[in-house]
Amino acid sequence: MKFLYELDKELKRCVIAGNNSSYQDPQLLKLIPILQKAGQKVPILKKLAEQVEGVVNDEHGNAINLIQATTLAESLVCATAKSKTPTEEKEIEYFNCLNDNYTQISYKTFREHISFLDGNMNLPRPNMLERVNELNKIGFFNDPRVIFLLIKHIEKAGPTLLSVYEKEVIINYGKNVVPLLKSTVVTSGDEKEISKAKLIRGNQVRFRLIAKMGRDEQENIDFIRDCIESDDDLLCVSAVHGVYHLDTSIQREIFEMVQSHKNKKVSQAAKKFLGGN
Amino acid sequence: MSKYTEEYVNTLSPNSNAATNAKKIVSSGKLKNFSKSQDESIIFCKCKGSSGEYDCSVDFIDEAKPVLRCSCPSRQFPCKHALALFYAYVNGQSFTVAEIPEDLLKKREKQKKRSVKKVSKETPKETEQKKENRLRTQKKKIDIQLEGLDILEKFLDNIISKGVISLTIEECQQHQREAKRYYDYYLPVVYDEVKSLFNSAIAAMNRGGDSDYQMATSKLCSIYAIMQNGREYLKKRLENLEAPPDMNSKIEEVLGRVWKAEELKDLGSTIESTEFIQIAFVTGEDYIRDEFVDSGYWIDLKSGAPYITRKHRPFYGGGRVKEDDSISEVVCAKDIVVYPGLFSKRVRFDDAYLTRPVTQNDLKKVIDSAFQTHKEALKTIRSIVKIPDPLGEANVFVLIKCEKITKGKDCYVVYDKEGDYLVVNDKGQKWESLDSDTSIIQLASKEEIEGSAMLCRFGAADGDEYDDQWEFDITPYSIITTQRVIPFVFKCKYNIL
Repeated sequence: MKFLYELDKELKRCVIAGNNSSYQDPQLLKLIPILQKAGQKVPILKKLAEQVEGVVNDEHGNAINLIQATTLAESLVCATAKSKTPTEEKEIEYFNCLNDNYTQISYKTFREHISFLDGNMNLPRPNMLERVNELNKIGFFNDPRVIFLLIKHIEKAGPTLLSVYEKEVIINYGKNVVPLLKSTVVTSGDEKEISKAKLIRGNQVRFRLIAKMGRDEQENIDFIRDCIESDDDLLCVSAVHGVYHLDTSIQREIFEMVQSHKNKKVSQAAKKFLGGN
Repeated sequence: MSKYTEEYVNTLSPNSNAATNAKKIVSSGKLKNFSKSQDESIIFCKCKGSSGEYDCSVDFIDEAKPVLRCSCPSRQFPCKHALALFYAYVNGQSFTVAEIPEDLLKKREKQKKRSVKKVSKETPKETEQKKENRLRTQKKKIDIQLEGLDILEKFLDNIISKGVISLTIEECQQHQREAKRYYDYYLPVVYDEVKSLFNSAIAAMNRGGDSDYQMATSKLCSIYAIMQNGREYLKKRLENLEAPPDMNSKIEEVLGRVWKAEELKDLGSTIESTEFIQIAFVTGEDYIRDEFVDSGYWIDLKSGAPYITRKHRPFYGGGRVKEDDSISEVVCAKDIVVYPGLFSKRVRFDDAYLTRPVTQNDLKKVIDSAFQTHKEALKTIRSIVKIPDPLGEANVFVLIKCEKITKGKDCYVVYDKEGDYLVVNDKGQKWESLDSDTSIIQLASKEEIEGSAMLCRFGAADGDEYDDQWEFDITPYSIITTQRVIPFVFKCKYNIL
């Protein structure tokens, strides 16, 4: 059917350029015999071939003939549409964190409050905290859309709300949310139009929560450890905050390991911790 | 026990503020003297408000369409006080039996008279006269429309002869202004299409993009198809004005007909009673028509057929039109009006319905109603998606079965039981800005997602460049598992070019 796509494009080119360009158009002339041949089996293609012939042989250029043929060609092309082809396919990581507290808030309620989720994550003042409490009461933060957006864009929130989200909202999701927190940790390569300070603040919240809720599992401790050890400035500086919520023995082990970390902030934090203990 | 639920009362609220304020009234104890009639067909109470004490009532004389009344001066209907009473009722507030106040009885009587008036019989002479008038008006309208289509033909001839590329921005704007005349010819859809055509042309001039020109060409094809099919249809109608309109296509709507519920009822285009479950809801902003469009996507639990509800509200001055909202319960409706169309027909049941909680069985029925294989789905979609043809659909909403989902680059890949795939993504189409996130499925478990059904919008890649294969733009709207409906779309803006 490649000829059909070529024809569709050529006819559209004539419509854009003006129908005078279609008289004896060499590209269209080339396609007519192919169309006629295909038309022997498919009547609609025969009809299209006749229309295209009419277009190329019309010396005075009848615009309606041209648009008629273009419309038919486009509808035939549409009827052959297929799915796109996937690239870089991989398995999905499921977090399984829709617990029993799951709610589905109405679209109106969601839209009314979404501005703070996709905007700057800050509720209008005054009474910002009261609104968070009210929303918490109606189960707003247990809607899957909100859970997802909140964790994904938490760095957009101001310091006061960030602390509320950390201590009163996300912590209540339970430890099933840890994989989601891990997958949303921002690295230096991620393109986010926010200041680095905000990105670090958001990551710090994620690491603190990963440590608080997921410290029973070795893979979470390893995740924090790997992030501290990494060369990524954004990661190691924020991951240090997670360590304070781990068991003392693990804290000590990690900090001993990173005493000579090339990022000064990390090594200073390690020395400070070890000095204090 | 009340047969109404809080969710049902939410749907009656004109906006979310009214619902929130009504709940606040209930919790603040401003309602008092909760009373009900002996037969519980009406409830009433007093409510303390800013300008005195109001009499609120909810009349259940028509169970499917309760009437909320209040003596407050608010122009919002229903007001927060009457809603508060309804919320109190559904949340188990106890009511004492009392005599129905005189004024409420009078209002009931008035309501009854109004409905009797509606069904009052006409004499045969009056009916004949009305019919004659209707046919005369119809003929006059068709003549004007045909005249409008002749003008449209000249316009098309003029634009295509010159070529879209030779137009200047000023000329495009001039054409857009002139397109308003199509309203005078009862062809509002033509106006929308012409406006959209020149938006694409202006975008092409500003950006120099080939795909914007392609889109403009597609719009020209669409306008041509309206002209061609419209003319044919109208001429046939002129031959026999009494013939019923085509109920299996949208041609009447394309030619500017605004269907009235009564007309559709007369044509027998109704469903007597059924239960619907909403599987997606989104309010879009249409920048060509300058209006909000509240769209609900439903599955009929009895037949498994998909339906759409749509409410148009103008951007300006539309504040008083009640906004639709999503409904997470099953809607039990009667006398549902069905609009003409090919697939996923539009329905209307206004507020005349009751709701009940969704069960796992309902969700299973929805999943079973999905296309079990992608082949089946594509076969149906290909026969419906016809971009330039106004009788087809530019976008088709279809429920597809998901046996397995994987992640690709900027997309998800949905597999059916035969191993065929469909690539879906949140990008939306060129003419829209879509806020949607399919990644939400990751919050569920693998077991929950596999075997579910996904509501997808199939659109032919409108005016997009393509190499050797025309591809569908498939946008997921929600996923339906045996446990819940998970929506993906947050916001949508149409015709933003």
